[in-house]
Amino acid sequence: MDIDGLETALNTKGTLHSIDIESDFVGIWYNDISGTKQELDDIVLLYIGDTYSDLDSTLENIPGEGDRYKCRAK
Amino acid sequence: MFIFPVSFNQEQPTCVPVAGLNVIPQTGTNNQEDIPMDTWYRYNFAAILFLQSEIGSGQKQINGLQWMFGTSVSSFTRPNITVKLYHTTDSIIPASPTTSLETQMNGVTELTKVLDNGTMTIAGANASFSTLFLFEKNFCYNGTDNLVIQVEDRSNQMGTNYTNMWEGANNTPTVSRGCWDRTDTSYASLSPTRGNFRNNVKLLY
Repeated sequence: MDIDGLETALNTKGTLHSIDIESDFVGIWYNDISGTKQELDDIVLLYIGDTYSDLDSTLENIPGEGDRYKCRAK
Repeated sequence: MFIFPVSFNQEQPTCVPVAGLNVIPQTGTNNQEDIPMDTWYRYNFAAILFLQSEIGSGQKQINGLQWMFGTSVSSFTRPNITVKLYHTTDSIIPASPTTSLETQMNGVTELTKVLDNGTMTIAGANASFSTLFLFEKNFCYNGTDNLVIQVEDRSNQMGTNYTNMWEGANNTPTVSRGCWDRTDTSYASLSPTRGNFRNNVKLLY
């Protein structure tokens, strides 16, 4: 699991809101993010897929707020 | 002046008294984030179905429940929550559920808003049942049909971090007996997906 690498990679795509690292999951939230959901999922799995294989994500366009990506990796 | 005798139909459903908390025997230890709601998101919809054979025969006056928390959840207060309980003759959730699930299911009776756009406050700890969510209005379970518990979250509020998990079963008895979705966009944009997860719950009846 390479959280620093993940953060660097995702920072090229959007603005970090939060990364929560707990004992059994990671929660990731980026605003104003670009790319497809698959591209973003692939980035996440590239950096933390060795630890977490179960990824549940959403990429939504929030009116007035822009594109938001949230994912949870377990 | 002659006053016509007026006969009101005041027949109310009668129900047995509430006895105590009862666990529906379907305990599991799978974590799932979105049932009954994921407070990381602004809007949620979830429904779970229990068979009559799981609840047991005989009328029951249900007036509260507890959800089993998974990791990370400690407590939350969430406004604009509607919780509906109703009977159905269906034994699974439809393949393409919507947020109007009650109109898609067969044999729906006694649809009751046990919480009507109200606030839900519950607390708990990992692998434990939450504090009691006491209903505003009781639901009289008839002891013969199956039961749906449906949670509609229009709160338009979200936590700033990911902190939700709920424990439940994901096995043969729960297949196609749950559905859920969450979004930050709008309640109308919710599009629930049927799944095989169902929360561990205790019903107060």
